Amino acid sequence: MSSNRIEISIRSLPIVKDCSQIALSLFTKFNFTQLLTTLMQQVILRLIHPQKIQGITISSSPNIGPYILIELDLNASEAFKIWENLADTLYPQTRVPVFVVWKGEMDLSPSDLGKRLGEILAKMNTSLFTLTHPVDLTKEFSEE
Amino acid sequence: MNTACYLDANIIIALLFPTDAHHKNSLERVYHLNMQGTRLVTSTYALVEVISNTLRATDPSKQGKYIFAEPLPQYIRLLQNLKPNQRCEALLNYIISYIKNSFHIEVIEQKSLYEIETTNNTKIARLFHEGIKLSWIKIRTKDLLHIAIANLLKTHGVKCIITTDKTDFEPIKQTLEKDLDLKVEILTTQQS
Repeated sequence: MSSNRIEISIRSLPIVKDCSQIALSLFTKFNFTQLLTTLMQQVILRLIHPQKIQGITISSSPNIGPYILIELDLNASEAFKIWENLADTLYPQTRVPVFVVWKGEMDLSPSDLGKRLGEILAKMNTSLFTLTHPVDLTKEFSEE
Repeated sequence: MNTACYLDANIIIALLFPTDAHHKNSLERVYHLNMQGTRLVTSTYALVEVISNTLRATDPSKQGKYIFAEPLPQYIRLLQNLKPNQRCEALLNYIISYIKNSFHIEVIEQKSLYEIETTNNTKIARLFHEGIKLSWIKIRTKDLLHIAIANLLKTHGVKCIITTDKTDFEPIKQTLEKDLDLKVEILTTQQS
């Protein structure tokens, strides 16, 4: 587990695990308390039945920065509805991208999956093709 | 009708990949044009090139060459797990949605581009006829078709082409401006 990662239990009051000094300093500037309060009370529990939440992780990664990852015990179509709602409600308040993963079936068509993924990520100013390293694709692809 | 700029496939790719050498320039130019009210358009032909190249970057065999920032690899894997043509369909729809919602780029398709014309008793789609008529321009066929499309999309207000391809477009820039009345804007990095 990376040192700048925080897991939250949704079934009780927030329990912060693995809360290193790095993680605390990282999230202080994003008003971590406010983020958690908004996350727990105003948005997530209104949208998702607590039993469907398998985990919530706040983490950080190069080129994305801090992000929230929510694991749901739902099918893709149900998870996408929640993700779209979170992108509309949570992201504008926190400016921290939210990602949703699901444990259930992939019940979306490829075109629907692509369309909705593009819409959600555009709302959160996050590109699916964010790499961890610099590239010059015009040059690379013309040379292949 | 507002003035429109036609975006070459390499601009779309640069916008999709935030760590690409041309991303910052492309983003700044696109935002500036959006603010000015200039419409940004591209073609389905450009999308073919964008998707073909994007697929290479997400190809499982290229793992290690292109490393996606967490937590994106799980969504990339989701695409990789689709059948090849389903993966292309998902990417097509992703890219249309993403460029429309992030940068207000419209993918323009026009029936008239494919109207069948006749020459010497031979049927030919208008787009390819245009490409042939412009083949005196010294450029690769791939780029010639972008020029032909941009020229035909003048009816949609297209007055310029924006590209990162300095090698191919710099030598013909003046020709396009003088003979076709199409302005060419080449976005460069400090290295290029």
